Amino acid sequence: MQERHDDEFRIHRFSPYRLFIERVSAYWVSIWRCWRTVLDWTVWLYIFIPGILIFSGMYRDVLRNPPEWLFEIPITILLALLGLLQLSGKLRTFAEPGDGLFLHRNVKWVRGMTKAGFVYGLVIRSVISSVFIAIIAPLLLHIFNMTAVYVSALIIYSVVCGFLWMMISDQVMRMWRGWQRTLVFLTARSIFMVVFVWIATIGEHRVVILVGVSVLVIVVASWLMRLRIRTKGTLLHEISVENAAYVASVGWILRDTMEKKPVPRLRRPMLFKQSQPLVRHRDDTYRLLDSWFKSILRRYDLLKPLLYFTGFGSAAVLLPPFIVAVIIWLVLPLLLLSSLQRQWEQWLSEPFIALFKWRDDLLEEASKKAKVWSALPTVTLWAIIIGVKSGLGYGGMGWLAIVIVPIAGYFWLTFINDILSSFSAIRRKKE
Amino acid sequence: MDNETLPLFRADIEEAGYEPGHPIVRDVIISVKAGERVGLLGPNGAGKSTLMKGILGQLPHWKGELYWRGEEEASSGGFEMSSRIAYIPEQPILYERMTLWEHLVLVAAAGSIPEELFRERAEKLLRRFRLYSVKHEYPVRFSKGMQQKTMLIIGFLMKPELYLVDEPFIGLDPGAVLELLEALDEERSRGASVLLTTHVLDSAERLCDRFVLVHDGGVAASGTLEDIRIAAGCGPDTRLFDCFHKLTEYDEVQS
Repeated sequence: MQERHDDEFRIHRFSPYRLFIERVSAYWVSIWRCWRTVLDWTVWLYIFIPGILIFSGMYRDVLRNPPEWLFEIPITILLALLGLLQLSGKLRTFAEPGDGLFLHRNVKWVRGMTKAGFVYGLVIRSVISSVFIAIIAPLLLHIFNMTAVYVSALIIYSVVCGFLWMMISDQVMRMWRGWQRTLVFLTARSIFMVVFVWIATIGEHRVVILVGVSVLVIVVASWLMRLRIRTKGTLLHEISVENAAYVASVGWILRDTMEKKPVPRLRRPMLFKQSQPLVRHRDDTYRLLDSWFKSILRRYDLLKPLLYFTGFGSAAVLLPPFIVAVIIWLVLPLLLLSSLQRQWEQWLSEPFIALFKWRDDLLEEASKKAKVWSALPTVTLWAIIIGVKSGLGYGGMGWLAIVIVPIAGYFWLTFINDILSSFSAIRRKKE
Repeated sequence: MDNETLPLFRADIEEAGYEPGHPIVRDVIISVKAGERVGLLGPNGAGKSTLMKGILGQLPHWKGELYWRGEEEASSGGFEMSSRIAYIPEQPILYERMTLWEHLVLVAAAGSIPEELFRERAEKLLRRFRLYSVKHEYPVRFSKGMQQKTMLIIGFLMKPELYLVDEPFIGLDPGAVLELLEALDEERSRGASVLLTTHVLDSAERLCDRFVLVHDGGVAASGTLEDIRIAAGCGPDTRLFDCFHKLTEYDEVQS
């Protein structure tokens, strides 16, 4: 009798569906491993679990004793949220660059993987819509007095609309590029949202319309699926969808370690299309500064911390009493400059910039100017808020603070920046 | 030794590699005189690119000394791109959110090239390598060949004393190869030196004055084409390709 080995090659073990399932599991395991590096037990214990408990308690209280304003909320807001959730869907086939060698030469396998992608998309849409509607179901049933039949029909309607959007967005991404794609997406999203909310609102009183539209959507989606299955040459598009999905899932955690950053979708930048300088190139320092400021404006990951500081910092000086606000205003520039210093150093270590030997004096001067100029608009805004608070609180001469505090803020900012810069220069020399 | 006989650049590498205790190259001496063009040749995995990375201070494990005009480099961490040295890597290194022109502006800042001179040089090079029409586009969106040309422009823009060029012919179309060879000829007439690694032995034979053949992490042979022929036991008209084949094949049999 022939001995059976576990690693024996058996052709029936291999099918597009098995491969798809293997890739889906590998993908989610890799995402989970990545998130596990930041979600340790302390984060669960001190942030997530208390957050879930507090939110559940608050939600229960709202349902038991609904505040009056809750009855005033138009149902269209909840339906619009449900519609927005559907716009996040992408057709995933879990394609890999190596598929070009074998898999994409075999029509059966390509079609199998695409069909598996449809099922995966439908499952994800169903989970997302069901979870969202389950969370808001008590509101829909008890506050808005909707029927269970309507809520059930709404789940089906959301799932099929989400699936249809997934097919449409896949088609748009393959057919258009650049600003045309942006324009088509903007138009399609607006039309989808208006129609989705309109039908869902009408369906509240005539469920049959909701069901009828759902059937119509299924027919259109089936036609798009048929078209998609017959489309050839989609591998590069599928790989770029997979890359974008991975970056969207873990990009924030790996932002400093990702070797290959996402390639811009456009051939030319949206800002400074003709590479025109943002600051005049008076010398090498200004040339370096010009590159830094353009990087901040073109890279959202560099701009985001600055926007957060501006938003949260403004709230921090606006809300507390005047004296506390002044103390916070004095401390905030230090935090902002430290964050900018870290960003500046990361930017300098970008492979292309690190290729060159930069003079120490040039780096020191550019570092000082880069931080002060980046922080100045935010620090000035905080200073104006302090000035307005002073004017409102003390009146008369207090209003002078609107002019005096921003000037003092500038000197305070440069003073802290000089200290921070000298520390970083000493550290760089030691290195 | 007077300044004229001193090599412009010399690297005495005891060992270099990516992991401690596992050197990829050992006991290699490379020197390049002013105006000289040296070809660093060897089969795949011989350690050519490792040597280049070592010279540029990009290796985690490196033991050896670097000399510039006979003076030992105080930093010894390796050379970075400056007005002395330009590095043209095999894999283009680019910044995702900078246009081609902005890449060149940054090169001008690093090399302290005056604005007028920079514009003149940059525009000439962009036209030469046929990238003028795409100078306001992101090079990360270019084809491999166009990205390679971008790296060449960056290197030539600096007008350094020494070019370290890693596999320059890969990805270039025949027209661009010709432009590259001509540009290197012009740089030689200016007195610039070149240390290049390549597998394209015909071009290397035409381009280089001297060769260092690296094999199994060490130097198998070095010198002029004549020296290489003698080391390989070949006749006076033998091409570099055949000598290379004989030297590496011989070593293969011995090992």
